[in-house]
Amino acid sequence: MTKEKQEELFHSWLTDHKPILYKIIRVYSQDLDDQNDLFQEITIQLWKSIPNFKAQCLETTWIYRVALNTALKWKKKARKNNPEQITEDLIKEPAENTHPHLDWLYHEISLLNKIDRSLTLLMLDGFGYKDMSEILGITTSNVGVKINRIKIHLQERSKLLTS
Amino acid sequence: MNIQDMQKIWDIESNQTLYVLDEASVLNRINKKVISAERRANSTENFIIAINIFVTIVLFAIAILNDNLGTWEYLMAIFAALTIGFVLYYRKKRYEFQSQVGDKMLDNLNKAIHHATVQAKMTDLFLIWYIIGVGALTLSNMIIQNISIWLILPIAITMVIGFIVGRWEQRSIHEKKRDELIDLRTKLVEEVN
Repeated sequence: MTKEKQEELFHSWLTDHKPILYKIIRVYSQDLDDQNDLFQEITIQLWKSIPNFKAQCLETTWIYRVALNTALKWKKKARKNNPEQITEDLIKEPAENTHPHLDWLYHEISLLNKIDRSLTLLMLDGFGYKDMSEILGITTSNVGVKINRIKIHLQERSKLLTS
Repeated sequence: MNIQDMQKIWDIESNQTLYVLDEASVLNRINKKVISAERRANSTENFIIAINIFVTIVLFAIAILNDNLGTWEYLMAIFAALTIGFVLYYRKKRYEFQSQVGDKMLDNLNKAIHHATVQAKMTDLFLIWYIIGVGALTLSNMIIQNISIWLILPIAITMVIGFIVGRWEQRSIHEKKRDELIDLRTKLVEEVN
């Protein structure tokens, strides 16, 4: 694969699948510095993964695989306060308001263990058990049991929110 | 709130821009980071290889030119040559590991655990190999040459400290990382009742 082709595909992935990356980044890292750090890590792995990408699987599935694998192994870095860092941020916080319960949902997902966070993201993004099993490498029945447990947990937590 | 409600809230995010992305600098940053990480890893390895090639050549040259068949010189030369082999083997393993992206999460975790285990073992082996190997050869040579105990002692202490610090680093970084990965794999594959 030529470098131009790699760049072209990379740009189209960034443009078309930006929301996937942001969602993963938000549940695996808390503050903006960490989000920038993880975003950078994920995009580097995506860039490296392009030569291995075969059209046998969907782009979204591939991007999820690479991004989740990276987020799972990513570790928060200890950093010193560096004022110059601010100007180098790759992602910046939005100005617009979001749904009031969206922050709550993100918070609840971020409290789950790292594996359950992946499952929840895939579930909320509409992946079926078979696709999840393909991405995670575990049986569909195990996926089903875990998803049910997560659903029950989230619904229980939402009762606290409404009460 | 049920899961369908959560799904609706979630879908809002898919259709709106929640962050502003400076796309132009992303590729630039990636290129820089990939190149610098590669260069950093390679330069450390190249440095170790260069030093050991130099040591091997000098020791063999001294032994041959002086017609001095001292065991110490030959052992050190062999030791340095084997270190080059070790670094090259480690680099090969690193490249193999780096090319494995996009696997299933379980496969990826298994590979990462294997890599962390190999890394921990390698560091352990290198530590024992280098500190005990170099230490034993250097100290025995110093004792044979009747060098003052006051010179031998600080060198011996420095080597012991180096060994302890190396072991600590190996346990607190490599083994800890491996244990965290094993914990993640357990969470992934555990059957929930």
